[in-house]
Amino acid sequence: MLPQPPDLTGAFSDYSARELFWIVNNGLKYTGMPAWPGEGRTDEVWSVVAHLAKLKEGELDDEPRQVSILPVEDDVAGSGTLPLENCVRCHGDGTTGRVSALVPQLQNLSLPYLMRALQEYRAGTRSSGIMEPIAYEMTDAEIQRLTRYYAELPSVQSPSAASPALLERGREIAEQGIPEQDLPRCSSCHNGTDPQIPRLENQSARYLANQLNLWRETTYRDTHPYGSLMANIGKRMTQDDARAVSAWYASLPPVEGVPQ
Amino acid sequence: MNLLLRTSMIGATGILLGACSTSQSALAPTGEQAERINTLFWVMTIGGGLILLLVCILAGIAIFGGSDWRRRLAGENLIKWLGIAFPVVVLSVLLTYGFLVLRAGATSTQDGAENLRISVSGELWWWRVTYTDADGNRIETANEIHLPVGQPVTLELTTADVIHSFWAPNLAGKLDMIPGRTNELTVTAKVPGVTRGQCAEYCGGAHAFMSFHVVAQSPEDFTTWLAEEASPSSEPADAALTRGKDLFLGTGCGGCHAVRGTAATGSIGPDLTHVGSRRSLAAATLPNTAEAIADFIVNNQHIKPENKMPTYAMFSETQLRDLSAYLESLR
Repeated sequence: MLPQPPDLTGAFSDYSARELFWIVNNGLKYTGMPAWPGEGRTDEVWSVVAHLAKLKEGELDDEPRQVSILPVEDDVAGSGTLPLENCVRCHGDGTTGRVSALVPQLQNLSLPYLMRALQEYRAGTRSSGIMEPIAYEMTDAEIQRLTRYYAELPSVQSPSAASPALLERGREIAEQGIPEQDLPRCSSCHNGTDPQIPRLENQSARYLANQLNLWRETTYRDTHPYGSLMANIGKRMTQDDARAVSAWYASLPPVEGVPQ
Repeated sequence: MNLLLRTSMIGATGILLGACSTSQSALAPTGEQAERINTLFWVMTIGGGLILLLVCILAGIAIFGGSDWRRRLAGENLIKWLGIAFPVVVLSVLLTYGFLVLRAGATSTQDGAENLRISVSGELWWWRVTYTDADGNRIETANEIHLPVGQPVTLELTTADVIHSFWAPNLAGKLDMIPGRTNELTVTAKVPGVTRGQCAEYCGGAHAFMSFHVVAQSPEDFTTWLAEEASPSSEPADAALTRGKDLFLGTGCGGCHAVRGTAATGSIGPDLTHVGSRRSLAAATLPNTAEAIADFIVNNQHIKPENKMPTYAMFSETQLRDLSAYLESLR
């Protein structure tokens, strides 16, 4: 590649966090450095900056990494290993559960919802600098097989810890909404009736809070019609509301028998 | 279909309004308070016209009159009588008359009895109307104010957000709705019939689409209507309506809208328990038909930009038909 990409471990010795954010987000003109592909996903860009900070500290080598077992033969025969490897790297598989709290747990999400999410990423209508390029490479058949694989995995109870006061506030928002902020209760849509609307029980709290906060960002646009509907509602939540309601949903046990 | 339908609806509404132009006019009073304003308006207009005529004549004389007339006009007496005495007398009389006509400071009650009280809250961009029946039950509806003819009714005007102004010109003058305050307006409808009112204080983008209907009816009709309004919603009569109800409850409508008698208990948007029986949709913006309901579900941000309802574009044609038919059937 020309010019030679610089060694990333030194990124923080030359730039501050804000400058690195700008570079990763916008790219550098007339160099090989591209802009971040997911428009408005500042959260993802900050994750990259945080990773660069860790690189400088040299902590990465000590971190244990889970080795995923790819169930290629049985479950997703014929779709090739690469796409599934891409999924498992972050979302885990039947044995590991999800690898990072920043990504959604795919078990327990319905098949139609997972398919729509991938199709939207592939079409570029749903924004993510990580999911868009991955989905872009996928064929219809791969999307079908992989989503079925995840939808049929047994749900894994992921650990969550939050103070009782926060959980109580979260429960109130989920079940009653905040009428003075024009915020309807979450359960009026997220109740498992429509398979296109994801269930939130046992979902990662950090992922949920991050999504809710994204909707308040002016640069982030979500997909018509489902995402844009939620974007309208998500704007009415404060950061604290988002934290509380995410903690509440994360604390709930997974619901069996998601409508497909 | 939607754009065409909407354009033709707006056109049709315009023609309708043009045809019955007295339905929203302070010059065609149907209430006691508006009648007084109307009288005061004509007295002031005619009186002011006469004075203007007099001034024009005097000015004409001063310019074109003979030297004899002009000498008389230049005298001090004219200043004394027409310049000082006349305005003092006329303005004092008019002021007293104005106070008397408007009964400033007086509250109108009937034989000392407590007036019927209706609370009207201005919201972006619709009207929340709440009746309290004899047993203290609160009955909520929207964008339509029913009044018993011949009885003074006290409207408690509040706002949920910004300053609005309640104006039903056929009934009474306008009164602002101010955050943190309850303003009271007493109206007495004299003629049965339907008139129209609207927000008279610019309150944001869709301010022009914030209207309402006033339905003045005989006290018996009013009691019957209130009893119907207080009843829970009717059960869906056939399979299509049942599917519509399931959609309403399953896809989040109940998070903001209430339909009494079902699990939908939201309080953010208008109460839809008897939405099918109202005279209009979306604060007197659309005719109340199943097509218009479907149009509003999908295109509400075009019809009423920046209103709080999100666009529900995920429904299939059949689902939309079932859902709007269900809402239309709530009478």
